[in-house]
Formats: sequence, C-alpha cells, structure tokens
Amino acid sequence: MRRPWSSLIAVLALILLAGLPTTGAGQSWRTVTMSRQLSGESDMQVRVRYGAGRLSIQPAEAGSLYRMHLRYDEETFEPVARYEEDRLELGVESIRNNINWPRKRDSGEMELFLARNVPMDLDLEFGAVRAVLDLGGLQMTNLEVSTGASESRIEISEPNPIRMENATFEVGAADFHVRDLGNLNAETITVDAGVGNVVLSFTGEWEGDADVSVDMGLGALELRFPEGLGVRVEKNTFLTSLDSEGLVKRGDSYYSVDWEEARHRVTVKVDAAFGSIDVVWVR
Amino acid sequence: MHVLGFKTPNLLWAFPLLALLPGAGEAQLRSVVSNEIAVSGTEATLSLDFEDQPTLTIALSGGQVLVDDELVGSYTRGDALDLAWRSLLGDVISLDDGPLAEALTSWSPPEDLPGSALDVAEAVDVALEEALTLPEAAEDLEPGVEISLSLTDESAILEALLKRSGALRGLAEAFESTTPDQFILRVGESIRVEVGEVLDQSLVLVDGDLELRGTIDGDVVVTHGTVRLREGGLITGDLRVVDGEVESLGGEVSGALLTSSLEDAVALDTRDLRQLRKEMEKEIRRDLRASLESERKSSSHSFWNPFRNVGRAIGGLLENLVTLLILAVLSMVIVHFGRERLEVVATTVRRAPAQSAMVGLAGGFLLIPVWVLGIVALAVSIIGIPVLLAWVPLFPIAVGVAALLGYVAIARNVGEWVADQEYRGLEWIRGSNTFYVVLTGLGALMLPAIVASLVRILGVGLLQGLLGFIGSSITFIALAIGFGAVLLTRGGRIRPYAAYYEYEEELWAEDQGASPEDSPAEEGPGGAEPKEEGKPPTESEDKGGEPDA
Repeated sequence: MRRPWSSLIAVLALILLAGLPTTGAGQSWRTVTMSRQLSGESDMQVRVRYGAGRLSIQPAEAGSLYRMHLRYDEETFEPVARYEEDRLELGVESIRNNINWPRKRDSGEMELFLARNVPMDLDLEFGAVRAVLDLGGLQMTNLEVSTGASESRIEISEPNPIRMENATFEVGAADFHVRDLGNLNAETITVDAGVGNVVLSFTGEWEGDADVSVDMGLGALELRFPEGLGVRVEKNTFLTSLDSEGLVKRGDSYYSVDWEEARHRVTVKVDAAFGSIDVVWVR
Repeated sequence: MHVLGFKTPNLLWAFPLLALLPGAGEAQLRSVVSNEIAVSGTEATLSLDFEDQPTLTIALSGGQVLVDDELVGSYTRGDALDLAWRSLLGDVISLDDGPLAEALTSWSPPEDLPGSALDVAEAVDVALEEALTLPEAAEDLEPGVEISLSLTDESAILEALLKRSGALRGLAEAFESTTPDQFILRVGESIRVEVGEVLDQSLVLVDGDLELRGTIDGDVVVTHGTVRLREGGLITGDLRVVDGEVESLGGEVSGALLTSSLEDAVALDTRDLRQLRKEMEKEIRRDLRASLESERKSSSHSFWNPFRNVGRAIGGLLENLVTLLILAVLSMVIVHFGRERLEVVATTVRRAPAQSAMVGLAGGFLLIPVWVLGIVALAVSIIGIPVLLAWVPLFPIAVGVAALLGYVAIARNVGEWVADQEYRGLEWIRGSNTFYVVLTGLGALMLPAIVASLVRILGVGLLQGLLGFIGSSITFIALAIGFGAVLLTRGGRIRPYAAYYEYEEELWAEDQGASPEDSPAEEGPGGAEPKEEGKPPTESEDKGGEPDA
C-alpha cells in the first residue's frame, strides 16, 4: 500500500530542518574580567543573570565588591555590569533573538566572586547552565534563585552572619542540589520545583527555627536532615510516595523522634504530585 | 608665643625623607575603583575607573590603538605590540586596585619593539602613568627657597607628616600662589599669637588652628585648619587657607585672603580640563555628524526616492514570487501524492465554508493548549516519554501540513472560479490539469500582495497599506476555512458530504453514459475511481473538459 503522506511529511520536515540555525556556527568568543572595589556600601541589591553555560559563584577576597570573569559569544551576548548606588546587576544579556547554541565542549562560562562584608539582597537567575554556587559567608538578607533546565549545586559552606527573611528557589526542569541550608540562617525557605531531581540538605549551623515550603510537580525529592534537628513534615501529595525514615506520624504530620527536645526546629510542607519523597538522616 | 623657630640650613635630610612620602618624590598611585579587561580575537581592552578622575580606556581593537577613544597608532593582530599588550593584560587580569596600579605603572614597552610600535607602546605607557599617578605635591616648590622649620623633635614632625600625607596636596596647592622665602612650619598643632607678640616670619600650618591676637609679619598658609582673626590680630602679608576656615573676629589681613578646597583643585587639574575638552570635541563632532547626516538624507530624499521605491517594489515582488514558487512546489507535491484528499477537502470547503471557518478558528486557538497538554500527558505517563520525543516536533509539522492542505484546497476552488469566469487570455486554465487550477488559485489569492508591491513604486502608502491588509485578511480567512475543512474531513480521509460526492460522481458517470448503479462511488470512501486508480473526476472533467493528463 502506498503511503504518500509519509513522503510528504518527510519532505516538509527536511524543509523545516534546513531552516534551522547551524549548530555552533559563527560563534566569536570574548573573555572579560571585571572587578570593583568596596567603597563603603552598606546594603546592596545584587542581581545576577546568566543564560547558558557554566556558572560559578563564590565569596570574594577582602576589599572587593565583586570580581567577574566571563567568557561568552560576543555575537549573541553582551556583558552586564551595572552599578548604581545600592544596586548591582551582573551577567550577560542577549543582543540577538536567534541563538547559536553552543557546542557541548565549547560553552560560555561565568565566574563570579561577591563581597562577604556587604549585606545583600541576592537575586540569581540562570537558564540552561551547569551551576556550582558557594554562597557561604555572604551576608544575605534575602535570596532568590531561579533556574530553568539546569544542573545546579548550591552550597552554603559558611553561616550567613545575618538573619535572612526568605530564601526562594524556583526550579524548572533541573537536577538541583542544595547543601547546608542551615547556614542560610533563613526564617523561611521556599522551593518551587517543576520537573526533576531535587535534593535539599538541611545540614549546617542552625541559628533559629525555619519554615520550609516545597512545591514539587513531577520528580524525586530527597530531604536530608542532620541528626539533632527537630523536623516536622506535612505533606499534601498526589500519587507520591514518602519514605519517612526516622519520622513518626502524629495526626497529619510526620515528626522526628526528638522534635520536642530539639534546639532548633524545621517545619517542611511538601506539596507534590507524581513522584517520590525520601527522607535521609545525616550524621 | 609658643613657637620655637629656627633656621636650618642643613635640613637637606628632610627632602630625601619627604621624598619617601606618597605623593612626593616617588609617585603615589591612584586608587582603582573598578577595572575591566576584555580580550577576544579582535580586541584587547583595559578600562580603569578612578574615584577622582574619568575612566581610562586603552584598546587594541580592529587594528587601531585607542586611548580614551583617541587614535594613537595602529597594530597588526599577532604583532609584537599586540602580544606585549595581551601579555600585560594576562599578567594583571587577577589583580585589583593597588597591585593592579603597581603592575600597570611598572610596565614598560619591550625594547625589541620596532620603531613605530615602540612609539605607540610608549604612548600607552605614558597614558597609564598619567592616569595612575597622583600629582606630586612637592614638585612645584621652587629651588632655592630657604626653609625654616620649627622642629621640637625632628622625628615627631616627620611622623606627623607621614601620617598626614593627604595634607601635603593642600600644602602644594597653597604654595602655588603663596611662596614665602622663609617660614615656620608646624604640623598637627595649634598656634596662638597673643596680644603684643610679633612673629617676623611667614607661617605654614598643616592640620592645625591659628588663634591670632598679635602680629605675623609675613604670609600665612593654613591647610586643614581654622584661622581665628581676633581683635588686634594682624597679618601683614597674604593669608591662604586650603580646606579650612577663616573666622574674622576683628582682626585684619593686609594682603590677599585666598581660600580654596582640594576638591576645587582636583576639579581644575589639567587632566580634567583635557578630558572636558575631549568630551566637548566629541559632542561637537557628533552634532556636526548628525546634522550632516540629516542634511544628506533630506537632500538625497527627493532625488533617490523614486529609485529607492522601485528597488523596494522589485524586492517585494520577488519576495511574493518566491513565496508563490514555494507554494506551487508544495502544491505540486500535494496534488501528486494526495489529490483525492485534496478533492475531499476542497468539496467540503465549497459545501460548508462557514462551518469550516468556525472549526478552523476554534482549532487554531486550541493548537497550543493541545500541544502542551499532550507534552504534559506524555511526560506524566512513564511509557509515553519515548512518544514525547516524536510529539514535540511532529505535532507542529502536522499542523503545518494541515494548514497547507487547506490553503491549497481553497486555491483549487478559487482557481476553478477564475476558470469559470472565462477571462480573455486565461482560456488555457479551462483545459489544464488540477495543478494548473491550483496554481491559478494561488496566484489569485496572492494577487493583492503582489499588487501592493507594485503600487509601492508610486509611493502611495495608503493604497499599499490597504492592499496589504486585504491580502493578509484573505490569507487569514483562507487558512481558517481550509484548516477547518481539513479537521472536518480528518485530513481528507472521511467524506462529511458523501451525498454530494455521489451526486457529482453520478453526474460524471451520466456524462460517460454509465448508469448510476455502476458508479464506483458506492465503493465507499476512497473508492471513487471512475477513470483511473486513485483519481476521482475533476471539476473540469465534470463540466465536460478533458480529463487530467
């Protein structure tokens, strides 16, 4: 039997594919290093935007407000380093609509060092990146992390010396790990994840109690708690399994055994559909 | 009088020591507030921001060496100058502020640079030195000036000066206008000249206050301090105060009273003036260029406009013809591979245009939700994930094919209508095959856009816009009706108006002298093969025309 339509679809598919941009064609790499010294900043709003590539953020050396190293395709992006009064905006922004997708082994990168001694409201937004962030030692009053399809590793290796009101993590489709959330010193932590694998490690030095809200669409959520931390988990899930190791169910909530005696307590509210929740205890 | 003054002809020791002060003999470096180093295949740029002066930018870009956008020379990619500059940037890329300034000022052009490149490199070196080095406070002191210092403890005054090196700039500024031959210098102390006391030398006071009730026979220079001229106080010479205050409380100054601040001095430094001049020049050039450009445009407008319109019209016409050609090729493919389905869709369009349009519009609005929902549903069901890979690209392709099929069906009907009108010169359409009919329809559908391109020659924007709007509307309506008809017929697979097809086929069969019972239309959908396998009768045949070739 003849299948004329399949031939026609094949012809049209070829026509469409012929119109797509050539992978990696026409890229022109530019390397930029920028830095600024501290000049009595007391409180800053720091906004970091990065589209695609490798991203690294670490605390800076003393005396430096920021140091940024960028490698990007200058035909597609341009660097951003806006500093005015109490606002700092860093990263790259697109100057063209069509993007030459980078080759796998030849991607852009951004390495950023931020001042330790300036209280900052930190807003990080990155797209399809491999991100390795160490926010340890930064003085953060607020933290907002938004990421698209990324592979992100966030660590807070040193305690935040000031109390943070809220930390928000918005995750699209990602493999997303956050470690030492206790060091954030946050009153509330909000995680909004779409699809993917999310690991939240609540290790670190806790200075106060915290409310954590996790909204998960489809995927696996792993909650890692240090022994000695009082934990209560409230779940509102649909077709989601819960491995509640080390938790005791009382009413609608799951409690750690030492909830009553714990010095610091964390309440985790999980709203998830399709997936799994695993609780892991860390020594 | 609390000043212990003496003349020290052998105070030569003081100058080498003062030379150690930042801002004196060895240049003090400016603080670099921020820096930027950019390197690519075509450029290597360094930008430095300072607290007290404009940005310095040195760029080797596109074969030009630019210092603050001012051309100082040229280079070739990969030549010795380019390599030396890139090497310097590579060395300092990890440095900030002080270390960065030191590294840049200590750089000197490689000696093996060829003549012209060496000149350019030296110009760059000078620009770096000038930008990074603070003005030397002591360099303006005139030689031969006899200095008398009031030193109770030499090491103490040295320590005081070292600690208050910032005041030296003010002092140097003050000496520009007041240069006493012999003076008493006090640092970090306050001085009182009581009633009846007379100081017969000039006085230089750094970082201290002067309380004057007696007489100073000479000039007075005060930096970072307050002068209180009490009743009976008298200065026979000039009083110069830098970064300080004068309180007139009944005292007198016989000479001039000069006050200034360091900010003023810095603001008026020559580099700033040069920068200001540069900016003004740039602005004037920009304005001139803008006005010349504007004039050029206005003068060229009248002469070149018709030619430009013709060019644009030809461009627009070619664009439309290329679109027509692409559509014709795609139509040929559809007619060749799916003529039967095309006929079903075209008939549905004729029989139910309103219903097709409604279905097409509704389908158009639902396309994206259906696509997204499909993605979500397939992603959620684990087994659907492989299908997802096909769904994401194939759904838009299927929609594109459906829209194209519908549009070609509309074109086919329009082509038939044109053929029925029996226009002179278009007789060839009547006897042609389906492809010719479709091609005629495509041309008719695109006619407003083609005419709009031609009208552009006349420069009548309103008419062109009106024709463009008509063309866009026709295309939108055709796409909506055609897409709806494709949906109604499930891509031409089912016949919602079977009776009509049967009627047409019966009509055709009667024309051929066969009885309706013998008509193959009763074979069901897809089985209408009155003449050739897979080829139903066309409208032209139905009306007595020649069968398709």
